[in-house]
This record gives sequence, C-alpha cells and structure tokens, in this order.
Amino acid sequence: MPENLKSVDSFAIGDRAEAVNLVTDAHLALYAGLTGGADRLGADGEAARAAGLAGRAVPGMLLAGYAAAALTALVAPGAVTIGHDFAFPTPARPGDTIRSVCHVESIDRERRVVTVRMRCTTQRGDLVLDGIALEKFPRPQAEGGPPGEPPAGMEAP
Amino acid sequence: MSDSTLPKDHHPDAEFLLPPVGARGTFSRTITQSDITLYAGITGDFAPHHVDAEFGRRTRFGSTIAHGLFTAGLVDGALAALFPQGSLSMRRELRFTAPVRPGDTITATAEVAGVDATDRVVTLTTTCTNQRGEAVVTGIATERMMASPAEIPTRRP
Repeated sequence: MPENLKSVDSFAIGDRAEAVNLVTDAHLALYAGLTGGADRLGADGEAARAAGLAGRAVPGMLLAGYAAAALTALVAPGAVTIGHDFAFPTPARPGDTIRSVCHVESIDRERRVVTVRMRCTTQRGDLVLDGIALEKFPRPQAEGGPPGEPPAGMEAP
Repeated sequence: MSDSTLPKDHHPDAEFLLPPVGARGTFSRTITQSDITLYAGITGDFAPHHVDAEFGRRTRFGSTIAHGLFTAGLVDGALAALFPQGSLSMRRELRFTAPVRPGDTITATAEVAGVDATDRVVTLTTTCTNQRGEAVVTGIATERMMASPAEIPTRRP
C-alpha cells in the first residue's frame, strides 16, 4: 500500500503535471467501441472521402481522458474527483500530438477541495481543451489508524 | 444498446435537421475490468484503484472502479444514438455522484434542453445511471451539430 497518500495540505498554487499523447486511429476506434460514441467518419469511407481525412473529429472527452493522466499524476493517490467543467475551443485532429498540462489553481483548505486547471494544446499551438477538475481530499487519518490504508473514497478521474 | 426518441425512418437529409427540445438518446452497456484497463491504456491513466484488483479490494469500494471520465464518455454513445450526423463537443459539465464497479450496467441518457438554430448549438442534460437506478454521473453537454459531412470538423464550434 502506498505511504504517499496526498492530502489537501500536500499542494501549493502552481503545482503542475504534464502528459503527452498521440491521437492515433487506434485510439479513436477503441474509444468509439468503449463508449458507443460515433466514429462515423472513421467507419464510413464515403463520408471520410467527402470530408477529407483531416475532417475526422477527435471526441472532446477523449482529450479529457488524456488530460486526466496528468491530473492523476498531480493529485493521486488520495484525491476523489467531484466533477469537471470542460470547454473545447478548437477541434483536435487524428495524428495530433496532445500536450496536457494540469496545475493547481486554487485551494479551499476548509472544504479540502483543490481546483485544478486542465489544458490541452496541439503541436500547432491550438487550445483544444480548457477546463477544471474539482478534487476532494478526505480528513487526515486519525493517529493510530491502520497504516497504509487507502483513504475513504478514492477516485481520481 | 442505443435508442432515441427521434423517428427512425426519414429522408437522409433529415438527419441534419436540428432536434426538438425533449428528444432523448440512450446507450446502455455493462462495464468490465477489461474496458477499464483498455481505457487506462488509451489515456495513460493507470491509477491503481482503476487497474489493480488487490489495491481495489482494500478500498472502501471493495473492488476497482471505472475512471469517472470513462463513464461520462458513455454520454457520447447516447449522443450518437440521437445525432447520426455527428456533433462537435463544445462544453461538458460533469458531477460524479457514485462509483462504477466492474459488472455494473450503465445507461447513459442525453436529452435536448435547448436549441440555438442560428449557430446549430444544442444543449443537453446528461445522466449516467446504474442497474440500481442510482445516478453515477450527471451533467450538461453543449454540442455543435454538423450541417453536412463535409463540415466535420472544419468549422470552429
């Protein structure tokens, strides 16, 4: 069991983590299979030809998943994600390299909630995701409690 | 499986018509550990409470749990049932209200709450519910509807 469980006091404004992912055709097909989401242009050759290969959309929620790997590096283990608010200013394209940056934007020590800003950019410099995660941390373990036990409620996105 | 309240047989051009307020799409599937691990592989988020059965057993959930953003991604399945012509995500607001364990069956529902005909922007309330009728994810999705296959995704949302 990890001894490095984080608490709300583990963080300072500006703490950050990054991740880089390549949007591959495999990711798009697998993600569509997992979520039932439309990979219409990928599956429909005629539509893809009409739209051009550059016309294939990358689901915003897949970008959120990429960014969540950086979020996990920043807040896990110990955090429970309460929720998110994502904007997708510009669509990403298959083949893009997505750079995700998550940084601590604000800390509510009384409520033990850390707000993390999440942003994804492509190799072209397009901003393809801009949002936040709300991360809740449990009360500190009471003295004498079982060492190494995971805290009540564990869910990093 | 997926379903929607829109009429099934209509002229092909009709799929680019904007939906009425109240139109609803659903998508249901059972989530397995394989799904969760595959999602971890695609996104790079291998936090142990998602992919390590021994770690999961020792959490208060008693098992691994799905990534919140994976469960929330099932909304894309409901949107695909509702919008065969495809859409571009502009915004997703999400609240995670209960964990999803391997073996849970999740139904994602997206219901049209508002339509902006000029910009072709549709706002939907979204819910993911488990087999016990408990809401596991709630939120709001804002989607830009495509006017034709060639438009995907060259138009900015």
